[in-house]
Amino acid sequence: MKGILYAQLKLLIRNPATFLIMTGICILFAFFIGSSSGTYQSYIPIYSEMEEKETEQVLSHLQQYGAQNYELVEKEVLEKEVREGSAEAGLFLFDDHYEIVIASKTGTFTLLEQNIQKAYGHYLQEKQLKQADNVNGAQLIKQLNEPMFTVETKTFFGEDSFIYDSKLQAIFGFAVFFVIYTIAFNVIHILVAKQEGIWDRIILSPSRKWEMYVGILCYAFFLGYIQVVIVFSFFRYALGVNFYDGFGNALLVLIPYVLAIVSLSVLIAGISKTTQTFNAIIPIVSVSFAMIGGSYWPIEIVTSKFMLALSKIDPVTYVMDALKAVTIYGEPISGALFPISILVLMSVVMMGVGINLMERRS
Amino acid sequence: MLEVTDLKKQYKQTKAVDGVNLFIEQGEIVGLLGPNGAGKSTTISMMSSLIPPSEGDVRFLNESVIKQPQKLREKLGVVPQEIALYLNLTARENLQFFGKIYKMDKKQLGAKIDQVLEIIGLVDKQNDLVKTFSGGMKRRLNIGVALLHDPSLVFMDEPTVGIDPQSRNYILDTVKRLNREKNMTILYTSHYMEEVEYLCDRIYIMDQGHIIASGSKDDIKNILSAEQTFQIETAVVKEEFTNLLKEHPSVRQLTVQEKTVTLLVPKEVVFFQTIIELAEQTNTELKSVQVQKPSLEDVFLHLTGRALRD
Ligand SMILES: Nc1ncnc2c1ncn2[C@@H]1O[C@H](COP(=O)(O)OP(=O)(O)OP(=O)(O)O)[C@@H](O)[C@H]1O
Ligand SMILES: [Mg+2]
Repeated sequence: MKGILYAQLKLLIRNPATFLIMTGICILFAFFIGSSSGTYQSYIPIYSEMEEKETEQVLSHLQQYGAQNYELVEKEVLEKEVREGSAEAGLFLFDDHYEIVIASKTGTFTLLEQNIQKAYGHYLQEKQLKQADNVNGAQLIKQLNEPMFTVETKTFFGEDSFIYDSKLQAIFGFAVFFVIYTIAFNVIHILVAKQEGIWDRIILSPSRKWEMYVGILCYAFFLGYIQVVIVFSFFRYALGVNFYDGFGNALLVLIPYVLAIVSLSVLIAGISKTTQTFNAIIPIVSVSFAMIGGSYWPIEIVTSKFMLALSKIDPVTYVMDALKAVTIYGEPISGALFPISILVLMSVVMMGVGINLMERRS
Repeated sequence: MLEVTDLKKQYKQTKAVDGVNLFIEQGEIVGLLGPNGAGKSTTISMMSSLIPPSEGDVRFLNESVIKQPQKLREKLGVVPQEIALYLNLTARENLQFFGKIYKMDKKQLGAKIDQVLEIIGLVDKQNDLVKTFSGGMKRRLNIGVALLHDPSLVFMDEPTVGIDPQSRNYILDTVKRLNREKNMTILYTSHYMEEVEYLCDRIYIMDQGHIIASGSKDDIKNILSAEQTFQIETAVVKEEFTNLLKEHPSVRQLTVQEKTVTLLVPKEVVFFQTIIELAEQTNTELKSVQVQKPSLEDVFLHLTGRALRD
């Protein structure tokens, strides 16, 4: 096993270009495609029916939380701006509640909602404390325990809207797509060794076959994982992209995915007899899996039943699900347990079948 | 040391190896000679425990290799017919890799690699990428890898295929040296007669999955002819001399062509001395005496009706 790791590392050091270029291209694609759509400095128009003084209080609280750009406008202007998409969302302020109006749920929606809730809550609390002299204590506590205001969210497109963060979509999509190549072109070393007769020499040596498999596959796994970590970290730390506090969990979710892709590569290696066939199959598989699994565009906009059915056997679907769950939707890792389990299951099955196919032929 | 009995390998349509028997004694160089597709490589693969035979047994030090390959594998080095190396690594890195695969001790390995590089004459090229090597250099490294773990038995499958005469001579000499100096037992596969003739103590000739002849070089040549041919060149052919030769009981046939006398004599007779004595008796000036033996090439032609190489 040490031997094979030695050879793989030497080969990487001799020719690091493939790995670096893959990582670089992935970052470039994610960067340009992610920022070419959607607004980032979000602008929120506000129409208020509260008194001017109170409106200003809410506004000042709002500006305290988050980076949105708020502006007071007329009701018609607000509706027009939201409908036409020049504003991400609009906010109506009333004495006893507020309403958020959106065209579609974008990535920053959760954040916006949180901020407004906090700001409005803050404002109400202050208001109550001011009145506290006139009210008895018990009543105040009762009032605080009961919801003091109602939240309403309206969307122009009805109920089934989803959250779309074009930046994260691009980062996730390209990272999980490009890593297929990085992994596959390392797993191929099993086929290379067999084709070149190196495998026969290994069989005659005291090293065992499983050591070779484990060596090559571990190496492919780590290189692939390092690549996605580099890509994610670059956007998180160098560009300050918002992962909704789910960065660590996103990295965790990638582990079963990278494993599944290693297994997928083994399966394809088992099916293809030669490195040439393998090299021909890999781009077809990776591109179609990426498309079907929602790595190029969000799976939520796909309506074809056939495509959706196909996506169910695609590891990319599940990793995208899991990644979005732990970031955009703010779920803990347990919220992504279903896609994670599917990925683990896929890994086991594909690895088993793949190694079997490879062993049967020789 | 190694014994093969009734070895067979059946692929779907082809009987690649069909009932091969052979043995190798400690310290020998044994040749396995045969045309393309004879089944040499398949035989070697079965002998080295890489592929299971359809029938038959291979025994190393009296233990079946098929059931218990470990003992053989420890002592065996195999030089495969196809170059089995990482082309994108240097010669030294390749040796490092295979040394680690052989789980060799780190310190020992360094010294061993130096030693092997010396043997195969690649010390100067050790840090060059193998893909930049000439065919001959790749072949030499291919052999070197098989020598790393100090095998006492080495199978070489056509180690000189497709390379320049210089590299070829180097390899042949190396093989001979390994046998002499390290007492390595070697099975050498080839379809070049002259290589096998130069190197080997005993020879097996294989064709279409069968061993069609075996024995020492002389044994095999005896198959073709029980006689040897002498070509005597003289300054002037004297009748006295030719008459004496004709009358000699051992001479079967005599022809004179200008200044050359050609004799056919039974194989077992030592006739060289007689020719010289008769020449002295008759005052014949000898320019040269040549013994012509039938080549292995002729034997193959005789046995199969086909040339060894097309
Ligand atoms: N894996 C295989 N499947 C089917 N047929 C095979 C296989 N390996 C070898 N053969 C057939 O067995 C026969 C013997 O092949 P082998 O490689 O042993 O010959 P060889 O004597 O080494 O020839 P060469 O001098 O060309 O190396 C050939 O007819 C070949 O086509
Ligand atoms: Mg062969």
